[in-house]
Amino acid sequence: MKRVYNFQNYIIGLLFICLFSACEKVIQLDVPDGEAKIVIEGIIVNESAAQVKVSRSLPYDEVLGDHLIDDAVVVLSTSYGATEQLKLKSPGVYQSRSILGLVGASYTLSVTVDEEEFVAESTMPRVTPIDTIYATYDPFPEVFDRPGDYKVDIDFSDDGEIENYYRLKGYVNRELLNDADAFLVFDDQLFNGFTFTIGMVANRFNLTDTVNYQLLSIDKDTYSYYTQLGDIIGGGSSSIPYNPQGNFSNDAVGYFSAQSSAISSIILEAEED
Amino acid sequence: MNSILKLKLLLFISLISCASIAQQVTFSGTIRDANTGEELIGATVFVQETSEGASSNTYGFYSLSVKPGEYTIKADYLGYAAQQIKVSLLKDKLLNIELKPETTSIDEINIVGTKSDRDVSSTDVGMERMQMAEVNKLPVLFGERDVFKSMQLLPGISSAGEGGSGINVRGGATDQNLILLDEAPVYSASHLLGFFSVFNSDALKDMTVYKGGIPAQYGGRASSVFDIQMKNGNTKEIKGSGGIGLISSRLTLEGPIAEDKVSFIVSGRRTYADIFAPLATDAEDTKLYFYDLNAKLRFKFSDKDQLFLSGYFGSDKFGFEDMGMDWGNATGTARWNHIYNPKLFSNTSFIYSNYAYNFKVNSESFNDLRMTSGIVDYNLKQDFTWYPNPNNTLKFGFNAIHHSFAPGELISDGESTNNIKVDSRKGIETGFYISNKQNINARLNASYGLRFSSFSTIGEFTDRDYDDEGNIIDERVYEKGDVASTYWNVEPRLALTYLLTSNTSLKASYNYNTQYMHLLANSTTEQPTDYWVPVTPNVKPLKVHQYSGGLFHNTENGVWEMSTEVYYKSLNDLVDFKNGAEVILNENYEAELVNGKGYSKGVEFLVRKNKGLFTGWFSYTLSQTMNQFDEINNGEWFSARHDKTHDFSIVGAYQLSKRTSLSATFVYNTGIAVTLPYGVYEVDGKVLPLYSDRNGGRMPDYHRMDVSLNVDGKKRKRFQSSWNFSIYNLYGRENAYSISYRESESKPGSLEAVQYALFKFVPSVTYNFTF
Repeated sequence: MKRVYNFQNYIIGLLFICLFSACEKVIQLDVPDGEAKIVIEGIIVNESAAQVKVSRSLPYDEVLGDHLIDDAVVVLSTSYGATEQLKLKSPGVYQSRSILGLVGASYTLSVTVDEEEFVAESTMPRVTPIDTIYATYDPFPEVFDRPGDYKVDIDFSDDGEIENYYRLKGYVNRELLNDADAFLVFDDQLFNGFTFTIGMVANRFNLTDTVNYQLLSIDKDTYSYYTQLGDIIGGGSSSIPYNPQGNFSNDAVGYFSAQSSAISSIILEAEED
Repeated sequence: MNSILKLKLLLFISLISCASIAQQVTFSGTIRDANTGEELIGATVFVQETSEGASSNTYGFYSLSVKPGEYTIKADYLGYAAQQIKVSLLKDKLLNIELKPETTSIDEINIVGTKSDRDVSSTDVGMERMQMAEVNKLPVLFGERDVFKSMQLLPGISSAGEGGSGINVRGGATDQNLILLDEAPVYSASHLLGFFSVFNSDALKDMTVYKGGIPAQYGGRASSVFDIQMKNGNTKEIKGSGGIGLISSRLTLEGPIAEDKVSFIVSGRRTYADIFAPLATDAEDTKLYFYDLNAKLRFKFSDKDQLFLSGYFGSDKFGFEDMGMDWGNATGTARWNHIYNPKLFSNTSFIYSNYAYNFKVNSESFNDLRMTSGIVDYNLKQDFTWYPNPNNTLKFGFNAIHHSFAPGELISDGESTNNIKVDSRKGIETGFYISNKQNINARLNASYGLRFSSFSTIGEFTDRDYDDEGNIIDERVYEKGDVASTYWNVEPRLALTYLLTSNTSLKASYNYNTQYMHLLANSTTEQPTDYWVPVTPNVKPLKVHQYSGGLFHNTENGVWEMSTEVYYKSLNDLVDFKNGAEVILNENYEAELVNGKGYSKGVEFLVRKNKGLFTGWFSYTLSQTMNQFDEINNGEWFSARHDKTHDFSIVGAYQLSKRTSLSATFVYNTGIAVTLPYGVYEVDGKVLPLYSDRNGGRMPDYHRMDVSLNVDGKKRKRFQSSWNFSIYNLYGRENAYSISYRESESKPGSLEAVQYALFKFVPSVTYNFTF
């Protein structure tokens, strides 16, 4: 549901821009003090190894670089009884070897840094397959000044029996679209049990582009974290800013999520229908 | 009713009857402008022999009792020539008075037009009045005159955001102001995200604001009252006025339909921002405008009966291609004035009011999707004013409102989408009040009263209880007509004025106000999607106690006026949002709310020069507004967003020549309290700010200067015109409207704060005319 009114905010934002040429300026802030926090981002996708990134927050005016933590103890256990300590794969990133993502399984992740333990759980939802992926000629009006003439959408069928939560990721020529407006997270409140059409609303693609869409089914906690994250990366100017509430104990920043993925890809060719 | 209440009522009645009961005659009537027939509000009638006086009410009516005899009566109103009338009063007499506007000579120009000794002797504490003549000369954004923005220059009243007409009064939130237009509550008082108020100043006559000492006839909101009166329409001749500005044009017509019996006024305004919108060149069906239409008919049946029919329609429209939104107010009011006898004045009002928001989109994934929200009111109001003797004026009456709250509904015609509806709730709000204004002795005046208020929330809707995580733990279904909750309160109101000398007074006041509905607005800017919800078993009414006191002094000649007021306000059962609360189209919106408390305290100074070539004022407010919610910031007290420690305004106007005047305003205030980041981290491949506690930091300080030049055209017989040139934000200060954070391009992996500023140096020109 979030999308509908995000859309409205988008329009309201446009209204501002159209009416008043807002002046924008980078400023130096007089910021308050606060404690550094441990940041954990753990994801396990079906049929893949778990990846956990452990870092800490730095003071506001510093540059991220030495924020990664290499000496954490990261342990993943499953509802079917497997347990594994994850090995450091690259700076700050830990990966499982034997445990791979399994639909329907629950996972518990424990991360210990400097004798402090942070724990979170997540259950992997069923895969929602993508029915079709297709491109349509639909350039943006000139004022938006965005490149590309084609939009790409997918159709998928929502399971009417349960509440579903989704994240859609887009890749163009294997590169992830990582802008704030490509961060799409939604639930099925509006289309429960129906076939739904969605795409990267704010992106257009060019001929010869290869576009991959990944439809991730996520649990409710992850949905809640992502929607809050979406608020923050949208600039955080429309509502009171806050730190997204993740599922880790002990006040760690970040989240742990088991998610199932469906991928479709399309190559944009000259003779589009 | 308990015995304490009875006792209070008894005391009340005995106080009134203390006054002499010797045989008296009453003279009463209406005070009007001699040229237009427009009723004058707050004009005074003074009996020179007895030194007793009265002032006219919002319908221009006054009543005064004296012993039979010969008297000299002096009627006076600011900006009008005082009139002396010799009358022989042997029995009750109807005495309608017409006052002629003073022809202003250059030596006595009143830009700030409040009668100078008014503040000293009246029992009104924390009251401000503004007349339209005063508003019209101030420089303003885009040249759009706006009473709400002008009010923000007074102490204790501050702007809720750059260029906006949203108002915080003495630490109150923007939804705690009772805004009345001709007795009808206005729910959304602004256009275009708050930049323009809905009140077209051409059609307005008078505005009274109560920051404290709120009289008992007003209720329903916790912090303040903005009582706005529209003109009633010229009863002598057809007149017109209007203006052409940068973003809108206005036209007002008024006049008699049947001489002295029926008169009308129609006033309209429409913006043409859509013409300037760059989108307009691209998409042909771009819509972007707002309009206001005020209309009023007055029927005078006799000297005792008058009927007013009035309406306000205003709407904002915005849309392009396959989507659109519009929102606006429609109100209709029928009022009947009846004078039962020279001592008893009655007004009965029936008011219909509707605020609606609509959003529509028709795209591939959302087939003809519509979202609506709003509120509809039916309101019956009965007010009596009784003038038993010159020392007492009693007001009593009741008010009953039927509210229908529609928090939100999403309807789709598409076959592959569901509809979403947040249950609508209904409410019956009632208020009974009685109050008296009493001159206790030559030095002491008092105004005291009680208001009994109640609110019942009625089905059909499903009421839910939630645990701390927002999960539903209990559910109750209320059928149509079932009462879900009833709250009631007895609200005492008191104001005292003690005259130390003839031009110096001490004042004190106390008021208790309750508010039974809240505006859910989880956003830092005013949004049309903000919606009103009533109290329910879980959402409690907001209760406010306010104590204030002040010292008022005018110089002998009335040129200078000074005042200082202090106040303390405690707020209980305040409503705020959990972090990341989602309230739009959320049937569990109550799970997103938290209950807490707050206080606001402050001291206000005002120095004002009322006469001479140079007029203007200086106002300063030092205040603190704090809130506490168990669920926010670990239950610690924190600054409310609109907490501005220092708030200065300087307003000056100088008459350069007979036809030219120059005015300027300067404002400065401490930056509002906001949540700032103290750290930086990375999640999802994005560099993100780590925020401190809520409202733990400050925006940069705000300051701005505006100037305007007003040039009147040559006076002609009928047609008069004037030009207004103004510059908003003269020195181009980039005041932070909002701050957002993004990853720095020059230093990847670090954040930069980006400040958005609106309205840097906005010149405008407006042409105004009357005919």
